[in-house]
Amino acid sequence: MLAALPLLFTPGCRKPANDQGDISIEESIAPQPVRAGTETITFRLTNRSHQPVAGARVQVEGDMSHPGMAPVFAGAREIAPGDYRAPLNFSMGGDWVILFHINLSDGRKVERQMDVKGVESN
Amino acid sequence: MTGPPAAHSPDTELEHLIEEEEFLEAQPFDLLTVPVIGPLLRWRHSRTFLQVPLFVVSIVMIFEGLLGPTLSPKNLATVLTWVHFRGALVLAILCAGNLFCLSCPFMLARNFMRKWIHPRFTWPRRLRNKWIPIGLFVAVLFCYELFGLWSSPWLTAWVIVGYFAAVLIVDGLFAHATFCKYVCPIGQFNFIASTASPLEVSVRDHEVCDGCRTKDCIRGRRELSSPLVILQRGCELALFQPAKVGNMDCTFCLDCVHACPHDNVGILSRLPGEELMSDPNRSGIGRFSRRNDIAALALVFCFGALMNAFGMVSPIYIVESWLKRTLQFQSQATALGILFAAVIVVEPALLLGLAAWITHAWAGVKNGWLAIAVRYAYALSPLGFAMWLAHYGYHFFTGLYTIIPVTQNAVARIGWPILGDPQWTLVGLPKTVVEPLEFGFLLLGLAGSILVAWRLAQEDSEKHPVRAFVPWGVMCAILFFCCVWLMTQPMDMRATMGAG
Repeated sequence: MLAALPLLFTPGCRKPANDQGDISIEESIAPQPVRAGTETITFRLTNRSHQPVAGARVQVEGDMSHPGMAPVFAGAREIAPGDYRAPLNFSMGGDWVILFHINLSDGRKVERQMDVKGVESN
Repeated sequence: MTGPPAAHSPDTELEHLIEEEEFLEAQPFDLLTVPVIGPLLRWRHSRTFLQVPLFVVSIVMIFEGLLGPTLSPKNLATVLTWVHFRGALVLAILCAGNLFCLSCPFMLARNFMRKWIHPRFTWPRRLRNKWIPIGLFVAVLFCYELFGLWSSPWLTAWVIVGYFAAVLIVDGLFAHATFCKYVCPIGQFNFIASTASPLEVSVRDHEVCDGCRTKDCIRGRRELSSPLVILQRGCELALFQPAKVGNMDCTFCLDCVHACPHDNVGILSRLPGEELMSDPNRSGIGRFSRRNDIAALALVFCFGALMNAFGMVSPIYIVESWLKRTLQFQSQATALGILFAAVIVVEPALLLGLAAWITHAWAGVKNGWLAIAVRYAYALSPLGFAMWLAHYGYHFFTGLYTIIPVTQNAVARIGWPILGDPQWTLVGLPKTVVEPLEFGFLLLGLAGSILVAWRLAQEDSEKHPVRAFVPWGVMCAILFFCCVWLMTQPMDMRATMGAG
């Protein structure tokens, strides 16, 4: 029975963390290398036909790879149709995971994820 | 310990009362006499009662780790394992004793299995030592860093599954508590850490034991008409209560408490670390000074605490990069292996070797340097425990409330959002509160280590106890400053396998 357990719970059975849907995100972070402190995350939302997705409300959440650490949050501002920017305060060095909680103008909710590895301590 | 003085002369009733009061005052605190807690622990099914909740939580953690959120801070398996379980374990050891082994969920599964499967073998004599669990302990620490176990709910769940499997296989094949005594790395961690605990399972009155003929505490309580039938098992870890000293190898299972027909075993208070200050012959263990394996365990426990904390701060990445540049390799495992070898093998060998040589040459202690190093290695346990406490306590206190949103999220995901929306901003106590606690733990550990080293030095050299002590005192101070330095470094938690 124990030997069969791995077959039941292989990673392939899991729901992918970042299902693609019809909304794509193209993100960047500056300046590089990323250091602890406030950094600017810039991202573009596009639909299936590569048109910018304007008018979305996006909250950006940063989590450490280690559990038990305080998440950080920032609201994103739309700086051009489909282009958004959020200042995020990386409270410590290490591996971070950025979650984009996206409320589209048509009421749909989408979530996207971005890994930021090796944020350097000050 | 002796019984209360008997009143033979009615003329001296007042004196008797005073003596009796003094006797009662001299008695150590006994947890089993505390209302509610005492009767609960003395209840025959108390261990099962404590194990069931942890077993249920373990099963939930396995499913949550395998099927729940992939993001570690949002998954019950990782939050409970790497924030709450570790912290609660060391705090329980600090405040009471080895309570995790008492409520071990793995032993619940094993006891259930043994209702049907009776082991046919005994653990090989040459393996009856701590070398295997020491290797496993180092392997766990190494894998924790290399694979970033804290960042993977999936791997965390498999660690728990693997643990259940290992317990069932080992104790399904081998009799007694083989897994606890000769395999379990968590158990060894608990055993060596609980040498600094304020409570131990111990005999209340040795005179009662002197008159005992049945020795139920180790043989088990047998049916009178059929002595082969065991009604209540005795100590499975071969600790004979009258000759038991301290907490080493004691799982707090309380089998001896339940088996003793004279109600003569309690959970008594003692000076934390007291058992390290002398070297009596211990039941089931022998003398610490002759157990190189347990001394090695104490060293791995202490220097492993440094390595584990070092893996969480920025300088490790500078050292790793330097190693890769200098030695011209790219493998993360190799870099980590070199660091582990340096911190857990080379550093203690150099420090203890030098301190032992100075003790031998300067204080005139006659033993060879290895025997001296083995004897004093135990003095580092309190400081090592303090480092684990500072590290795990930090994560526990600063992440104390994270269990709330993670549980809310887990319950909501199964379609039963009775706990409301996850409050992700709930985290824990502020660093300004936690940091003084950390340094307090480290200072306590330093004081404990210095006290143990001093008592050993007094025993070793009547003429020059200060000379015998100084090398070990200096080493404790060096390690203490290493601990303080580590705790003041900026945290930089990366899953090193993925780090550049």
